[in-house]
Parts: sequence; structure tokens; C-alpha cells
Amino acid sequence: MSSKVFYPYRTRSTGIKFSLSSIADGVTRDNQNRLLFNGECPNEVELQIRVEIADDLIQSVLHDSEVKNPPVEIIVTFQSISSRKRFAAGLKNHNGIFQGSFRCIRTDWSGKLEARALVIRTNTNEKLPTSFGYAKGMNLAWSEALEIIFEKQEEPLGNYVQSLWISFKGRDNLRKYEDHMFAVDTTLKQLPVILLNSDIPNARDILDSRGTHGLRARTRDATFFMIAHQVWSSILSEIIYNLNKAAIDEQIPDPLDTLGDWERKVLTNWSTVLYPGTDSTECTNNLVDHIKRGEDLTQLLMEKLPSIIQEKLQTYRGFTGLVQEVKKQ
Amino acid sequence: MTVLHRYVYPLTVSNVAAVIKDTGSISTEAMGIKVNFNKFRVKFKSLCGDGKSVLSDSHRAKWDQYLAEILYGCMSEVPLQIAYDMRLWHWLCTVELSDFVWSRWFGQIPDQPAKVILDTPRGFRERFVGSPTLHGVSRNALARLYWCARALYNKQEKHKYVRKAFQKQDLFQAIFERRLGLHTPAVRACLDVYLTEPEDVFRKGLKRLDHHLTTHALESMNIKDIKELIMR
Repeated sequence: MSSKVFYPYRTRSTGIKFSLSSIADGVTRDNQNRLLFNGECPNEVELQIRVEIADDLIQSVLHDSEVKNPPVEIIVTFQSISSRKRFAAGLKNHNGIFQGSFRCIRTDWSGKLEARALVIRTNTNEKLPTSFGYAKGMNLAWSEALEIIFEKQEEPLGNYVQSLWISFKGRDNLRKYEDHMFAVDTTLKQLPVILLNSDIPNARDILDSRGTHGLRARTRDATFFMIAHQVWSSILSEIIYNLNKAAIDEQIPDPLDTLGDWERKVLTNWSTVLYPGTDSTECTNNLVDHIKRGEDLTQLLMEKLPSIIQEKLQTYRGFTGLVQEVKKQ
Repeated sequence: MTVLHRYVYPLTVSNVAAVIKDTGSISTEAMGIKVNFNKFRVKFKSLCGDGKSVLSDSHRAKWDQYLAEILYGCMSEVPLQIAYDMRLWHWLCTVELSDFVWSRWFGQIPDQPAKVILDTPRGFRERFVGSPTLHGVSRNALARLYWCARALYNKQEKHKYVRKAFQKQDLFQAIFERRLGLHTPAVRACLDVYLTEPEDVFRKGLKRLDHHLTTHALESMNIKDIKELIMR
């Protein structure tokens, strides 16, 4: 339930403990409490549902006249846009703990499923004062949502790159670039870092803004697309350069072995657009073979790279967004 | 029989023109599933004629209710996980069944699709692509047929509600581009109430229903409950 929804009657978003669990192999939990169905899990998995309601919850959302025989039901709703499903599961009361199970056929699902425990009205009572929910199906209380992830989501490209606001004037190695918006640091072997210059007036204010409309948001997006294009151009060029260097070293049987973990992930992510093939493994191998054969990389780096970056990131959106704002002026 | 493929990465309105010009410009991968689309093609041909003459929007809109059930039937053995993947639909729309997309949404099959598509509006190019969102699926020319048929078909009434859903394109979009469109009883209730109503009535009504549903658990409601909520 969004915190932005206004409920014109008593409701409660605390006091419900909701859990989903499974003992099946391959079903794990991440640090955001999401259940992950990875490749090893069986096709059919039983999820155990458990809901506990705080002692004072019912009386806090119902009129006194209804507390003795509360016209409520505890359900769990499941909703997944990617799997195009939306339904509810009923629960049984076992000594104050509401339990149920959900048989999940792995191949019937895709992407993300959101589950939430709800206390809802089971009848309509129009005689209630206006500060109480009165209609059948009305939400009276709800838990935090839990997510089930059915497949490894392709990691957003930005997950391979960290960003950091620093003062370029305050760093010896960056002082001469004090009027630059950003710099890329790939010297750390874990992840490349985009260094954003906090000395540029208004840069942090605009680039950290969260809006989705208006000139500020459009300026932010256009700037990010500009930075993203340059950053990916630099990162991909460096990876291809490193591969090339390893390929001409006869002591190295497989140039891919010389790449760091993040470099391999980036290469896999981009391989299908960098080089033709049927899947990322074949594309990566084709690229390496191209490099090993000593073929010229000019066309790849000078012609293809700018084009595929624009295509994959759809960087034109930065421009069209700004044009929309200009037209409004 | 057609071996189903999907693009290795999704198409967008910005790159679909390049793919239509050269369908090999983005790699595809085989899905290991075979489908026979003959029934779909035969029905489509019988509806559109030679594909050269331009047919009116309203005439072409009537195709959906017949083709949806046939497409669903052709793809009945396709595993759900594969059907969820929009890259499959992108491939079907740009390669395997592109004639249908052109005829249905452009009015005819152009002699030079690669040239023509460059001048088409975004709304038309959306018919070939789409992300796995409510909007994306609702706009893709083939995914919308399949998923509507899948949601509304049942053994007793067969495709009765599928045909209802495609009678008014605006009503179809207004329902299926909302989260309530994921709940089959809600779709049926809306079709029962709004199918004979003019556009301004169902637009206001669905907006009001959406508002009610912010405070109701739709998943707990049957058709009767939802209709009562609509009428409130």
C-alpha cells in the first residue's frame, strides 16, 4: 500500500508480521529479504505463508460494535505484472497464527511477484461512522510487501559502475580538471568509479534530484546520458584494449582470463551488440577470435562503439526530453 | 512448423526501423519450441484479402476477436515462461507474422517496409515492440491478442469474453493498461458493465473504479462485488 494513498477511514500499516519461506533447494533469501528462485530450485516449490496479527490491531481499525465478531478476513495477495497474474490466498487460523501455503510452479512465473498480507472487510455495513471502513473488500490493515524473484534479473548496466561526488579542486590528480563535470577511474580492480565534480555549480543539486518531470529532471537526464555515453565508451574501449594486449602475448592462452570480474560481466552484457553471434558466450568468443586474428579494431572502436552505446542506452531520450521542455517555454 | 526465436535483446521504438530494414541486424536465438501458425495465416488472409487495398480502421479492428482465439490456440503448447518474454513477440511481429502487423495497424503491406516505417508515428512502431509492462503488452500487435485470450478463455464460455474485449479498442486499452486488467473477474465485470457505454462514460467509470481500488483488495472480490463497486 503506497504511503501516498489517502485512506478516509481508520487503517493500520503496522502490527502484521508476514513471512514466506521455503525449504526447497535453490530458494534463497537476499539482504533485502526477497526470496530468490535460482537455477537449482525444483520446478514445483511449496511456499509456506505465515501471518501474525498484533493483539490490538483489530480493535484499532474496527468500530466497537464490530470488535466482538469482527467481519474481517486475513488474506495474502499476490501480484505480478511480468507474469500477468493477480490473486489472493486465504489462510487458516491455527491458535492465532494464520497459515497457508502457495504451490509455485517455477515455469509459470517470470520476473517479480509481490505478496502482501491484508486484513479486509468481509461485509458491508453502511451504519458505521465515517471514520471506519465500511465496505466489503476494504483494506483495513496491511503488512510490508515481500518480493519473490523468479529469475536473475539482468543487472542494470549502472550496477557495474559506482559514482562518487568529490571536489576536483581538492584532489592533486584532478585539480587541473576542475572545470570538468566528471572523470572515470578504472584503477581499482573491483568496479570502475565515476567521479562527479561537486565544484561545478548546481551539478549536485540537479543530478541528485528525483523528479520525473520538468526542466530540472530533463537537464539531469540529458547530462546523465552524456556522461553514460562517455563512460561506457571509455570502459568498453579499455576492456577491448586489455583483451587486445593479452591476445598478442603468446604466453597467455586465453585473453579472457586476464580480465577482472567486473570486466567480464560488462563484456558479457555488451557482447551480443559488440559482435554477431547467437548468444553472449558465442559473441564473446567471436570477439576474442577477431582480436586474436590480429584484425583491425578501428571499425569496432571508431564506428560501431558510438552507435551501439546510443542504441543500447537510447541516449537520444536526453535530447528529446529537453526539447519537450523547450517547446513548453 | 515454425521454430520460435527471440531477439537476444529487446527491440525498442528507436531500433525497430533498423531491424525491419535488416532482420539480421540483431541476433536471435532459437527457443527450442515449434509452432504451427497456418491456421492463423489462413484466417488472416481470409480477413484481409490480398493485403494491397487499404481497409478502414473499424474493418481491421474486427479481426482481433477472431485472430486472438486462433493465435492462442496455435501457441497453446508454448510454455508460459517463453510467452512472457517480449523478445519472442518482437521477433514474431517483425519476422514471422509481420504481414499481420502491417495489415492490421498500417492498413496494408507496403512494398518497401524499411522506407515506410521511418515515417510512421511512434504509436505504430509500438505495435512491433513493447516492454513486459501493462502498456507494452497491450500495444504489441500479437502479445495483446494472446494474453487477452489466455486471460478470458474458459471451458464453459470458450472465447465469449475474448470477443467482447476486442469489440471496442479504447475499452480494451482502458482495461488492460490498468492493474485491474490482471484480475480476470474485474475484466469480465468491466466488459459486462461498459461494453455498450460510450467512451466518456467508461473512461470516467474506470477512473473512478481505479480510485476505489486503491482502498480495496481487488483480489478478494468476485464479479458481483466488482460490479457493485462500479455502480457505487
